[in-house]
Formats: sequence, structure tokens, C-alpha cells
Amino acid sequence: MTCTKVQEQLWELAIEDFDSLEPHLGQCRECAALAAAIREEQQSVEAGLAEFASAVPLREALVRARELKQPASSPAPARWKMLDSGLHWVAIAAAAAAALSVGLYTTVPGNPAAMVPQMPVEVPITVTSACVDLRKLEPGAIAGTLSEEAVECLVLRADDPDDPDLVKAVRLLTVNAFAMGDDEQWERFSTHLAAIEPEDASVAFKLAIHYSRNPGPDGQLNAHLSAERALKVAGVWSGETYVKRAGILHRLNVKATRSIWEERPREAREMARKAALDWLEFSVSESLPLEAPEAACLAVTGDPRCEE
Amino acid sequence: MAQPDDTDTSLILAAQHGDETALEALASRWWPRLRRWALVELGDPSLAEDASQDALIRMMRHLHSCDASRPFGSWLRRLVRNVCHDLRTKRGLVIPFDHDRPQAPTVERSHDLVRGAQRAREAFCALSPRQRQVLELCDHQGQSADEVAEELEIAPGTVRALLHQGRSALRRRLVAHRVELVALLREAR
Repeated sequence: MTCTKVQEQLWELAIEDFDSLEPHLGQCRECAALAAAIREEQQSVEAGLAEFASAVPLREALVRARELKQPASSPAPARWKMLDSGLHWVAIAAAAAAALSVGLYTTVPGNPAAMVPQMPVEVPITVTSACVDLRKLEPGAIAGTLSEEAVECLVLRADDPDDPDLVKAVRLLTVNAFAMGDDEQWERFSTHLAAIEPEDASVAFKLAIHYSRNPGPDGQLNAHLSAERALKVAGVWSGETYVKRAGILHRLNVKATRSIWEERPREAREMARKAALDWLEFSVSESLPLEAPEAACLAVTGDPRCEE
Repeated sequence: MAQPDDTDTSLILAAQHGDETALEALASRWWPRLRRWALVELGDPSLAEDASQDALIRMMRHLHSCDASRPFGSWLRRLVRNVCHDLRTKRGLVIPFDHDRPQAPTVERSHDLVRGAQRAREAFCALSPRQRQVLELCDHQGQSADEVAEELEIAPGTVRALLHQGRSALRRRLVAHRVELVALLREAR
């Protein structure tokens, strides 16, 4: 075996497989030196990771964890974030009515006009009969014909992090908006769905394509973030679907990051470089044509090794 | 398929019934690995510090939903991965540009780093996230390419390609500071 061949293997083989190269290593000073150096450096990596792993004692982390830990049932601060300007008045009105009915305010003895606030109490979000049975709403959502009352009711459910059918409610809203051709609402509900279901690759995939085609003020950044999110969980797809969808995501991620880079040359270079390298890496690993990824890599990194 | 560790199982069950000592013992067994996984996922020590803390809190909060009859490591690793994903997304939205990402160490920079372990860690962190995951699971935890493919839900061929690319990139970076060796190899050509 030639030195070139052995050194190629030394770069890529598992350390324990170096034994198979012993006949050559025993005779060649350079290759033996490289093998020894790689073995030593591998131990440094292990030491480096172990050093980080044990740098903070558990005791210290537990104290902080207990300080920061809150019960899972505590209300999320983003509880109202789904409500748009129209709907949040509905919620506020409902909350105000409920507040009065549970005696959130009390009168001062001798001065019935004065209202003194008591300790705030959590007001439960009311789900009306319009969306109690989600299964019944499916046909209407698919046809895009959900009533306004059902949509408002679903929005309330979609905004309650403790609702066990939260995801289902948001999915119904998303499907309904899509069937109605209401892009704005579809984007809003899909974004919410992507946030509560980060493992749902299809939603992130659709959002990435949506943002890529509709670049608003932050469109390319959103396209990039959605593409990254979808790529992170792209393993749920398999075979041709995986290769095709992941390929599309890499391509539009490169396009999005390059566009951001053009606007912010200093800050976004690393982002564009990483996207281009990831696309190239993916194309190599899936044996896809390399012209476009190589050109993108070369354009961003300026490194002729992209073609190697 | 990996089997659950008996000690973990009993600690989880006790912790699920409110035994604080068992919870601490369980956390103590897994804390270093949790931190290490966070670093592997994020490739950035300061982000990994935050992620480890978040993951510990999430572990304490959600332990009641953990199935004690299955390997705790897989559950915890998924939890760490989710925490890192959330953190990346959150930071991505707040700070869209990755200012703090460590650069791949150059020859000059490597000379400045006093400790080999730190230099090696930086080189490891400069790999792509997928390469880091695959190297950690295959080379450091001894899993097979098929097992890793199943865990990361990617094709076994992709795992092997990432493994070879990752090893090659890491090793080339690591030996680059060994001036004498580099000269020796160059001479031999």
C-alpha cells in the first residue's frame, strides 16, 4: 500500500482500525508519525469534551435549577400571543366579565363608588360549545367553511398551553385558513404550529417555501430559520422524499442566507458559508449533482477546495 | 436495542414518587453527559452552559412523564436535543447572526492556546452539528453507524459519509499545529 493511500485511511478510519495498517506503519516513519499524532489528538478531543462536561458541579446547577424551576401548570406568559387585534377584545371582554363575576374588585365599606383591586386571580379561558368536539369540525376545516364563532373558539383553545388538544386546534385553524386561501392567517397559524410542534418537519418545510416565495421585511430570515428547523427534523422523511425535500430546503436556505448576506455583509457571512457547506455536504453524502452546491460554496467561501 | 439500567430505573421510580435524594442521585449520574451532549449539539460552550441548565430544569419538571422501563439516556438525549433546538431557535430570532461562533483554529491561533484539550475542543466545535453528533455517538460512545442512523433518523449511508468527513476535517485541523509533522509529511511527498 502506498503512503498516500495509508494517509487517506488515517484521516478517516476509526482509531481501533489503525491496526490493519500496522504492516505499513511499521516500515514508514512519516505515516507512523501521523498515526501517533492522530491517536494523541483524539485523546485531546476526549479530554476537551470531558473537561467541559465536568466544569460546573451539579450542586451549583441544582441550586439554580430549583430557583428557576416553576411548576408546569404555571400560566405561560405568551398565553395571549395568538390573539390578533380584533380577537383580543373578545378575550379582554370575557376576562373582564369573568373578573367581575368572581369578585376581582370589591367595594370599600362606606364608599360604594370606590373599587379596590383584590389579588389577581387566573381567569379560565372559556371554550364555548362551538369547538368542544374537534372531530366534528374537521370537514368544515378541510372545506374552509368553519364559522367565525368556531374560529374564535379555536383561537382561544390554540392559545391555551395547557389545553391537551392545543395542537389539534391549531391544525384545524391552519387547514381552514389554507382551504380559504387566506395566506396571512395560514402563515400566522402555521408559525404557531411550528413553535408548538418543532418536530413537525412538514410544517417547517411549507413555511420555508412560503417565506422564500413571499419575502416580506424578514422573509429571507424567516425562510432561513424555517429551513434550518425543517432540516433538523428532516429525518422523519425517508428515501426519495427525504432526498428531494432536504435538497429543496438546502437550496432555498442557501438562497435565503445569500440574500441576507448581501444586505448585511459583515454579520451574515458565516451564516451563508455554513448553508453553502451544508448543501455541499448533503449533496456529496446523497451522491447528487455537485455543480450548483459547489458553485454556491465557491461563491461564499472563495475556497477552491469546494470542488475537491 | 439498549436496555434500561437498573439503577436508573429505581432512581426514576423513586424520584417520580417525590424522593428528592433519588432525583439528585439520578441528576448526578447524568449531569456530565448532559453537559457534553449540549456542547456536541451546539458547538458553543457559552450556549451549551445555558442549554445544560435549561435541560436540567426540564428534566426535573418532566421526569414524571419518563418511562422508567426504557433507557433513560435516550430520553435525556432527546430532551437535551430539544432544549438545544429551542435555544437555537430563540437565539436565532433574537440574535439572527452568529457572532460568537468559534472559528476553526488556524495554525497561528493554535500556538496561542495553552491547553491542548481546549484547542481540541475548539476544533471539534468548529465541525458541523451533524458531524459532531455522529462523531460523538460513533467514536466516543461506540455506537454503530446503523444505531446512530436510527437515533438521528437519517440514512446509514449518510452517517458513514458524515463520520468520514467529520474525522478527516477534525484530524486535519488538529494536526495542523504540529509544524514538524506537517513539514515531515510535505517532505515525504
